[in-house]
Amino acid sequence: MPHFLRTFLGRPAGVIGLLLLALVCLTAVLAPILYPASPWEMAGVPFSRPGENGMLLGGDTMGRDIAAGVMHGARVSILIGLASTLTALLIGVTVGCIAGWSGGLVDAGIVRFTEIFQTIPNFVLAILLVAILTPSIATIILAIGLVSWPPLARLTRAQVRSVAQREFVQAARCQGQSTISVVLRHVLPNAVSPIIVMGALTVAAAILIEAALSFMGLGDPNHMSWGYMIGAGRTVIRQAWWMSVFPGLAILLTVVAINLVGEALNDALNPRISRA
Amino acid sequence: MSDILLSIQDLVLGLPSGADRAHAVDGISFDVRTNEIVCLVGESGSGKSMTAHAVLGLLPPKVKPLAGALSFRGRDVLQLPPQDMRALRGGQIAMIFQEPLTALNPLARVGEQVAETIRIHDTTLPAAGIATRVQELFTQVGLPDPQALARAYPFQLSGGQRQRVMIAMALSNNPTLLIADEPTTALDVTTQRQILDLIKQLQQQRGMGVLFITHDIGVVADIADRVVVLRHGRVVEQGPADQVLNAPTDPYTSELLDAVPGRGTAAAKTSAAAPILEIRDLQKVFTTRQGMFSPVRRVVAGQDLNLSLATGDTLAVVGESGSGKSTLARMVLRLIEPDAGQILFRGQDVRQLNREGLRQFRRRAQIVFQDPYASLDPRLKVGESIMRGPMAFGTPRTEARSIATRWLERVGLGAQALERFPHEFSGGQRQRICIARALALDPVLLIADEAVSALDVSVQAQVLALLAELKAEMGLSMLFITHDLRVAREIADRIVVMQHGRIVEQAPAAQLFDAPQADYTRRLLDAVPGRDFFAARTPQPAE
Repeated sequence: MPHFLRTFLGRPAGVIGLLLLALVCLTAVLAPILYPASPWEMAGVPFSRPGENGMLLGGDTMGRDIAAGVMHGARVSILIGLASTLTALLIGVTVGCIAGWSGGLVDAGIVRFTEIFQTIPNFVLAILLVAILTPSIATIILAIGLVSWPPLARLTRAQVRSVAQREFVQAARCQGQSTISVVLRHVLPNAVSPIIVMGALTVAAAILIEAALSFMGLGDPNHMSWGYMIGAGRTVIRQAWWMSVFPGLAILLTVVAINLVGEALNDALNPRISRA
Repeated sequence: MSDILLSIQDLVLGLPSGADRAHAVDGISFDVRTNEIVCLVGESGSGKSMTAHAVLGLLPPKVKPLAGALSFRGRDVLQLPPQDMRALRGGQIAMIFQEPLTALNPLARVGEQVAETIRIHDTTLPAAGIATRVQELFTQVGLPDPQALARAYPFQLSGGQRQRVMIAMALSNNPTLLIADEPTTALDVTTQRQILDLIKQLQQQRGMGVLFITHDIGVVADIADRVVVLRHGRVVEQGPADQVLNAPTDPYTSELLDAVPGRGTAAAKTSAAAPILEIRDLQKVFTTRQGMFSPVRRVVAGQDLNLSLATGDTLAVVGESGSGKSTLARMVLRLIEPDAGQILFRGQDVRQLNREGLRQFRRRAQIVFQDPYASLDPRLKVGESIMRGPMAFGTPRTEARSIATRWLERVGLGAQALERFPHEFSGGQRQRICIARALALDPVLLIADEAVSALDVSVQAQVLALLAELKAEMGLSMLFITHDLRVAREIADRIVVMQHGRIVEQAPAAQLFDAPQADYTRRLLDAVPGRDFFAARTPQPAE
């Protein structure tokens, strides 16, 4: 682990990403303390410029506080980003493991099935799923998870296949260990590094999909989200830029932070780089 | 007295902090003159490759020359500006690498790659002239049908042909110094023999100086004019080949010479014990399909394999790469499923076993793999790796731990190895761990798949001795897969020679060495490096 930490913290990308991410998390934690009122409630005069009427980042068309919206939106984005990535990992790693370890017909079948999912545009499928299931936090998480697993499954399959060929895995089989034990204790731990990195990047993608869904009005109506705010401010962007720019910046910062962390993780988890 | 081409004086190469020692090479001095082959011999980690790379300015970024001089024809190479260094590389000094497959660009035709080397150093030569030179070079290095081969890609050539292409590339600008870094280590013995002969012949024709790096003292005996023996970055002995090999003054040189396997008398006993393992008419064909419409490629890995291993015996399966010997080992354990035939273990057919039967059989028949770096789980402590075996068969954890401790002590590593990770051990130590892991299950049959091939000779000798000891102690039977006839001679009672998936000869060890029947066996025996030298050395009383 010291190797891992040293390399991670040795990359400027890792440190900056981590700091930004900490800032986003802090925002999410502080939201109910700094803005105890619902971000949906009117807080001042509509179309207030940033700084006017006690609203730091201005007000929107209905007089709601943009700053409150951005802070509360962080909670939703992080929740959806993490939960949908976990869903995708659960599906993807399981499917990929089964395909990679079994090989043969099972593998061929699973790969074809995965390809079917990959041919459908992610976002279209996500819209369809949310629209059918009626928008709520849970259905959005499920929908994003269901469209994000194929790349993880393919990566896991490739990793498992190559690790399974290695001699220490054959040695474990010859030791008489059960298949489950060989896969869980020997194959997966040695295959997991790139999957973790890809998982980190999936979080960023999930946040973007959620923003896009809310932008189109398919977000959870009970929770303020960045995408919804941009969607609501979109029509008046010429007169009131602050309504879409601040939530937009929030999305940008979060996604950049996660990508930076992912990149540093990639180096830190690669033994060739971290032990050099 | 011929001219001094390369002169190395008190060269010190510093390693980055955290390496196992401060200097890769520590004050070495030697010369290479025109028209001679100097062999730099040493085990892994002796600094021999670093020295070669220093000559061409190809040191890894963190390795720096700290002191000493390295001059080529009177010019100090270490001080040379980059563009002069580039002119020297591939021009006056050329290099051949160990692994021709990775040293050639996989996406370019080999003829074009050689042409490129010529073009870089002589920009005035017209294209037609270059093409003729490439043809000449290919003919010189003995490539069949140079016209067609020049248009081939590296993957379409055999290992020996690729190394010939590398040599052609090295010779393309008429170098005066050729550096060969283990050029035959990745090749089969018969190919190795051809490449060694080729290098020797070209060296004599052109009067080149050759710096030949090798770990194999047999190769040294075959080609060296002068020998420099390296150990831990220091020169322990140097001098004319005859003198160093026949009358070594340094104990380490004698040790290296004595560690070369296969010098004792081959076992002559014939066992009458019942067979523990019998293989009958075993067949295996690998088929690969490149695309939907391309023809299926068939590789015969086993055809009509029949052999039997008597209880308490060691049977060596010898063959070059692609002969199917490793496939055979894996088929016995059903890590690869055979197409047809029988594998009888104590009379019971292994191919008919169900899942639990197979698990019980694998407990009795354990395997030690070739690569000690790949065959231990890098994320598990050594003790854990060993304990998992007995625990899979219901041994409680504490007892498994004491079994692991006992075996680690038995193979000479001690109990403190339990809590350490594989990367903390050297190759030889790891192979001992693998042996401990195999034996912790108390097997009766041990399959060693090239178990000593990746090790230095001195370590190889120790591991072979350990295996022989353990075998006698536990009454093990052993199936020993190897490409090295010298190793087979050291350890085997019976030897099976395989080629292209078929058994070409099987006989008791002594008989095979004294009176080989098959042509191929004879070719293999003739190709063993340093055969004549060691044959002459054998009459000395062995200690």
